[in-house]
Amino acid sequence: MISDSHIAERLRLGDEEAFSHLYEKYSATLLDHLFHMVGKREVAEELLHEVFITVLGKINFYKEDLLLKNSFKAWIFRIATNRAIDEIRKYKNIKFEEPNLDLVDEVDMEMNIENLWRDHRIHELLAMLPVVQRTFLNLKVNNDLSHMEIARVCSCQINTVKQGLFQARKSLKNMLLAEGVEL
Amino acid sequence: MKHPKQSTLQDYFENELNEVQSGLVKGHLLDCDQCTGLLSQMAKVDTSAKKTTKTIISDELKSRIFSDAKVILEAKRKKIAMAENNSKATEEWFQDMGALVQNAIAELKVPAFQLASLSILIAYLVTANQVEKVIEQKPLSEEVVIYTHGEHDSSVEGDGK
Repeated sequence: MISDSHIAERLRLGDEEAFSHLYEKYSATLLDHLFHMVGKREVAEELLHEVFITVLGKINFYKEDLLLKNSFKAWIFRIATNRAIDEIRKYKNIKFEEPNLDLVDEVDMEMNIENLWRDHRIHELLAMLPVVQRTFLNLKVNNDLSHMEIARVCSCQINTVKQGLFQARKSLKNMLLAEGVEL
Repeated sequence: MKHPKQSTLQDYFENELNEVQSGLVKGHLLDCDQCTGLLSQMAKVDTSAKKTTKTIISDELKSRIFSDAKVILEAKRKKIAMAENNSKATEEWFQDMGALVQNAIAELKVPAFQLASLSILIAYLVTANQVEKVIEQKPLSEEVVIYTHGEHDSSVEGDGK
């Protein structure tokens, strides 16, 4: 597996293979992140395209932060988050669209459809949280970023991240309990 | 029994504590069902928020991203190649000039000591000329009238009280 700093270094030189590695490593997680934020698959896909182009355009400005374990990942997610926030400002309420069954992995179809609807329901519950809280939760739970990395991604203080995560978990717990989910 | 703060418990759950702090919480958890319960609730909430399906990106989007990326990367490579060519050309120019000067000096047959003295003299004249130019410039302060409190000039327009 090629390291992030190596990918960044090669991208500065215009290496297409490095871009393939970047795409393989981050495209799915970035799309999920964008979808979590904007709630529409089509919009998230458009943003993903823009994010990759921005990353290539700004790669010369990227400086590795030695305090962060995932410095490059945090940098890319910051670009994506900023772009998604610009997009969110256009809408007042986010209504998560229904899952697209064409995009389900064909292996174990039945199980995947079940999971897809479950994910959709969770998305709907998360959509009820303030955008900052659900972004924190998604970055923590699905992308395994540290508090400091999330703070960099969202341009805020570490304490804000801690507080936001606490509130997000509390609200989601209450919503799940209201849905009859045993915790 | 003193429970750890809610934020400490959250930090422990998210692996954000150092070894000592983590050890303290771990020790507390051995005897405390309440805190263990809180941690297991956090884990369940996180599990429910975790995505279970694999995200698939359409081929159309992938090819669009790759074709645009290709253009940008190609431009980057061209820019780098151009910069390398420029630096090579500059280096060659300096080498040529160096050789030219060396040849000229050899042909003039001027001793090195005299040449060094001449260079110092030229450098001195150039610097002295620059210094003179700076001295000749009028300082800005001469053109600015500064009024202190009580010395206000009533003839100035707009102060006709």
